[in-house]
Amino acid sequence: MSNPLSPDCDDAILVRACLNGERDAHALLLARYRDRIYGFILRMLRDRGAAEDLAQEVFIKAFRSLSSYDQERPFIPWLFRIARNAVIDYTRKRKADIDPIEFDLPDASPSVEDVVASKLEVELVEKMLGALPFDFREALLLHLGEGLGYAEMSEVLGVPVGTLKARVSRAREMLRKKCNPEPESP
Amino acid sequence: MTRFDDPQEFDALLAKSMACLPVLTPSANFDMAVLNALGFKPRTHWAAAGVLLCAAYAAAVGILIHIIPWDLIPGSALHLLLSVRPVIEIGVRVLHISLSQLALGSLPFLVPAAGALSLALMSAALRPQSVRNSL
Repeated sequence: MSNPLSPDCDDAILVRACLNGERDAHALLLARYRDRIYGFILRMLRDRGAAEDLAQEVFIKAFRSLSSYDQERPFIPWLFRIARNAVIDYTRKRKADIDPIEFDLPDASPSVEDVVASKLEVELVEKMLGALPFDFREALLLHLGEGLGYAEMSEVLGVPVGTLKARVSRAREMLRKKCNPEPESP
Repeated sequence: MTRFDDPQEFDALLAKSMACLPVLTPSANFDMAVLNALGFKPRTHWAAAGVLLCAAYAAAVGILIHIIPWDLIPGSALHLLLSVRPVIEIGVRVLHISLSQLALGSLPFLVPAAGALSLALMSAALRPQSVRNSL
């Protein structure tokens, strides 16, 4: 008896069904990962239209090259690797500006609690991410935003675990310094 | 000393904020565009079912409207009938949304579209002249 496809199915089952050409399996995998891949690309590129086009290309490429995917390994790092490569290719082709974007933080209020709350609001974190250099932004997004472990990130980015740990740590430090600027000398 | 001077405190807050980043979603036709590019055609049986349902519903409403002896219905009842206009307007609105979705290739939306179209047909078939006469 064939296993009916449902949104609860494992990635492996959906991938096998995709390889058998089942439309529903494609639709379910899309529904499962569409927002994560689109969100990652959008946060890297900061361009909604380009992110949507690129995310579509990522899924089309992923589905077309599913036969080369090793089903023994987790699906999501493989998919993120395609997304990350697409972002790199896009920025190279378009010579898009991936340099840090300057941003201003609101003046600190007298209350420490208020400062902490306002400076680390979600909206502000989005802004701060845009201010990070490319490598640090993607490392922080994948680790804290997407919840990938260092081993998975290493698979996605093709960078040793130790380097990634250092990047995440450095990215945190850069953000902390941005939130906590040195007092101006009199 | 602010709490940002404590890296551990900051890391914890950052992790918490990053975990709460809003989910970003692409446009409604994203999946359809990908599936179409992969060669999956829209499901025509949905379209066929929608068209059939629409035809059957419209026919039933049309027959019903012509059977009803409008001249014998008291004016108050006709007033009541005319008060369904907002419902019809909602129907037309649903129809509009459904057709927009249809244009994007979401054929399952043909079914509500059929229902909305029937509502619009019903409003057109209310034979305004008979209604005015009765009033």
